[in-house]
Amino acid sequence: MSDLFELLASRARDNPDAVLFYRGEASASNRGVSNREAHDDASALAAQLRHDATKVLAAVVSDPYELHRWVWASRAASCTLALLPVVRDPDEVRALMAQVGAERLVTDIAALEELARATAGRSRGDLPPPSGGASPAAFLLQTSGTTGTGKWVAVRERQVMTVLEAMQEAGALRHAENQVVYLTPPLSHSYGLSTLFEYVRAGSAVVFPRGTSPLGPAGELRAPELAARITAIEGVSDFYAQLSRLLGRTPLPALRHIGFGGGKIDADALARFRETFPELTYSIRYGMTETPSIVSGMTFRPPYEDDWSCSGRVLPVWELRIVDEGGRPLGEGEEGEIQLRGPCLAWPYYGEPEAGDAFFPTGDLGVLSGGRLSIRGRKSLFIKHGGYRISPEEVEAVLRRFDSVSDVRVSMGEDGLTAEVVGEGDELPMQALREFAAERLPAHAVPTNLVRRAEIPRTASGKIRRGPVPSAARNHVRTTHARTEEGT
Amino acid sequence: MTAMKTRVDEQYEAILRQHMKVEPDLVFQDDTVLGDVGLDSLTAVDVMLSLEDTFGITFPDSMLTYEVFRHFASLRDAVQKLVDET
Repeated sequence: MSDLFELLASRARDNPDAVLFYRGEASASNRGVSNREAHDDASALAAQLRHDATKVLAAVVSDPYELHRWVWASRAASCTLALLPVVRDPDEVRALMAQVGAERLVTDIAALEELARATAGRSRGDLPPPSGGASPAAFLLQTSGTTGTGKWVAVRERQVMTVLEAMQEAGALRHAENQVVYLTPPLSHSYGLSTLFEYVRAGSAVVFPRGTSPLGPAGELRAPELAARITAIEGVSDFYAQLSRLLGRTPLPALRHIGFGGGKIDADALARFRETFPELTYSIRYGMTETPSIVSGMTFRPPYEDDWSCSGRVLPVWELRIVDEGGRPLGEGEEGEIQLRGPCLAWPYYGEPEAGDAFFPTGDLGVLSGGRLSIRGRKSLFIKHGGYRISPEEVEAVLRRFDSVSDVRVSMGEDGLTAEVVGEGDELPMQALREFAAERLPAHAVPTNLVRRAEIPRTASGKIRRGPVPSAARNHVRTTHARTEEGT
Repeated sequence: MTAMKTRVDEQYEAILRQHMKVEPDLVFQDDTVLGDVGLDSLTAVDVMLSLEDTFGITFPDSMLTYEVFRHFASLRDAVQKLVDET
């Protein structure tokens, strides 16, 4: 394959009538949109973009099918597609467009239609290509990070293609063949965009959530016609936590594969899936916005003899090293920060100077063993406490299993290890929660303070916002005391 | 049809209170927008599962819509309808 649009064009040539995606009602009579129809549609949109000489197109599109058209069209027209987060404030969108030099906006948000009309057909011929001299980016994606302000990642077509072909050669796309995949991550995120290309490359058909269910993407699978069609699912742990609770009442008779994004498999969800579907394959991927598609990937097949904590073999396109806190490279089996280098790396960020041969510090902790990578968590998240290193994510995972806990954030506060907890009902039995934690966690990882909160702040992409911890002085339970009290 | 069908009102409200993060002194009105008082896609799953278990009903896909889950009364009426049909 020479370029991304060729993924679609070759399918349209070789299998014109095969389905690329299913759109609309999940009725039995829905025959789907064929490769040829999708190709012709994207080509027509591309002709418009070429006519207007659009160089950087901004998209604020909530309907994944609509966004999907512009992904292909922008590639057919070789223009840069800036995938903006779905914000509804025209001033905010205008500011984001200015950051990436976007001339034109496409949207399906009513509040932004006027802004989109004002930019239609307008082109400014004097814009510099994104990120300086090199070839223009195919996609500009925002990284949210867990703190701080968003940055733009400029992903080039060659980088996406190189990783895709390396995956194909390594056999890392086998799970994506002959599937009808329910692709739940948004296309404006690296995970959604890269899995789209992977499944299309592997010849599969795609179904996106339509946003029609008050229960979210997992709820849409309650439609029997849709559920009967789906053979593979891609999603992040929040989605699977939801789907796993609906499993008994959501038959998925054709399901063969589940793909986990986000580097680690959600153990609770996995246990429920394995109980319901004893024969599925599961894939896990480790990657980030700065690495178009994956760094490493792994597929688990029955009888599941591999280590579930493993994130698989590192693709040969990456130069990966593990370093200690002083930046010194570590050896086999030693845990440290994962750093990356290579021509597929979409870093430094848009607008920042080139980094020469510097390694990109991922901020993730991992171990390399026999060429296989295991992810241990976020470096910045680990808390040093009483001579131990504590992963707040692991403590959160335990507390979240408690029945009436709907959300939780663990951090180091002034008074010690603090868990901020959101409860489902009026009452949250803090003492019982403390005992629950004490039974399941080593003593040094049991939060000293439990604080009731109305909600836990999250970023636009749904990650827990980490930062300075508010004082736990009010409305808390000091769990080291025998007496449990709840303040006002 | 008998006149003795189960009325869902009290249990229905208790389920909403149990799963949503509503203030204890909030008084539900028929037109209370559930999304404004804490119903999101995560809590909606819990609310639906709890309603199904409690009343022995199954929400058909056609009722899993924003319209049904919008107001206190619209969801209650949907549950009542499913209970009456059971």
